[in-house]
Amino acid sequence: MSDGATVDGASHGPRRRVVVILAALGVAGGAIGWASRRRTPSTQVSGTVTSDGRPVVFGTVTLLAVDRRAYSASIGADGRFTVSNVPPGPVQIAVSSPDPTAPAGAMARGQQDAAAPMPSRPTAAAPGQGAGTDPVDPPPGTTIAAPLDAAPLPAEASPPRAGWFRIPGRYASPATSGLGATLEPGGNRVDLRVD
Amino acid sequence: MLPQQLVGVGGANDGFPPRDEQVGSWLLRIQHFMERSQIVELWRAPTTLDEVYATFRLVSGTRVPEYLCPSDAQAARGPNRWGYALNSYLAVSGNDERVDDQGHASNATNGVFPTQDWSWSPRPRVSMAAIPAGLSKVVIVGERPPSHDLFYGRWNMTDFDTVLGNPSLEFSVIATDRSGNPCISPGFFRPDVADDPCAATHFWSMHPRGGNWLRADGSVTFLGYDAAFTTLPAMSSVFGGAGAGTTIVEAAR
Repeated sequence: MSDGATVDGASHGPRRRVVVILAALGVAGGAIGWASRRRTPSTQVSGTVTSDGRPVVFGTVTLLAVDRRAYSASIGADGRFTVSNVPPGPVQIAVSSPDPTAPAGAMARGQQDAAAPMPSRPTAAAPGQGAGTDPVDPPPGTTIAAPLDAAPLPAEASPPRAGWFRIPGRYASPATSGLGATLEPGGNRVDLRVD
Repeated sequence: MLPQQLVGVGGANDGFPPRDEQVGSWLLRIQHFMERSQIVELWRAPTTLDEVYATFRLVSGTRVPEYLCPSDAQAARGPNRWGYALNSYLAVSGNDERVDDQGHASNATNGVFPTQDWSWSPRPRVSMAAIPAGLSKVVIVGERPPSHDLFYGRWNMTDFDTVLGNPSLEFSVIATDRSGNPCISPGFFRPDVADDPCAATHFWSMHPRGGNWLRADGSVTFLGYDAAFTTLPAMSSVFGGAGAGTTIVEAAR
């Protein structure tokens, strides 16, 4: 029995060592992870966006951070914004405020540059039927499929946001905005003027 | 006199009847090199305005399988409800878009496919010799599935349909998601979903973790989204990040 116990003990020895090593690695890993988190603490950026003293009521604030990533947040109707989990350090900032009433889809420029000539003409012929009454024939070896048969488009224009006004376009790009800040760990207050 | 609609799609104001190099997108012009010259040669036929319309509609409604990503089943179905066939690949117009006084962008000037402005005047031309960064260091085409409603992504149209800045600042066309929240700007290469209206405002792919990019040397590279803010914006300029502020249009003159 004792031999067996020894054998058992011998056989368990490496396992215990493995367990101990894994436990040590786990502790070390946790410590490394903790240390890593300590080195890159969560940073939050809050502030307001104003132009000539008026709050910018719609759009986004985007921060290009030291980790070469972009962090974005929407601007509230009161001009406030909050961007979370940005690494501390210098950031370049862009502020965009497009017209909130721009249709979210197939209308904006389509009404001008494309949709106009096409619907005013007979619809394309079904596959294999050529071009119908068109004065030109389809290219040999090609077919014109029928347009997709789908339900009418829902109205996707966004409701107007009261108080919206256009801001200078240069603020839309971090390369031209001239806006920047250096973030400290923890909370940061960054008010942005886009006059 | 041609209608404004055709002027807007490719500079047909250069003469009447328009030639194939005056109407439509770059995807029309490369048809010659895809053994599909018959589509381009349709433009030899029209002599009246009605024939121009009909030819334009015929060409635009012709589905070209090579322009559709196999992983994008929605786009592959066929022309949209307006009769336009779609594409999944957009040319890179540059990395220097700016928002003008009317809120429009789509005006990058330093890529291989500079848009310059909506009237295409003067028409920008870029030769391989005018790519100082080196052909392998410049991306010329990336992926962007058609918009959520399949409107944008028409292969025979120009800006926002077949050409896009990287990053894109074009939010005058699509400004909000379905909830009315603003699209994230600038529009960098990032993952998205097909039913998000904002997805059309930036390069992205149906492929997980990244997308395919065509370099100016003809090679195709799969780049992960982690390249969105590092190498890709620089590679979207013919200068490869150098020469910022100089436009290829000026360089080509």
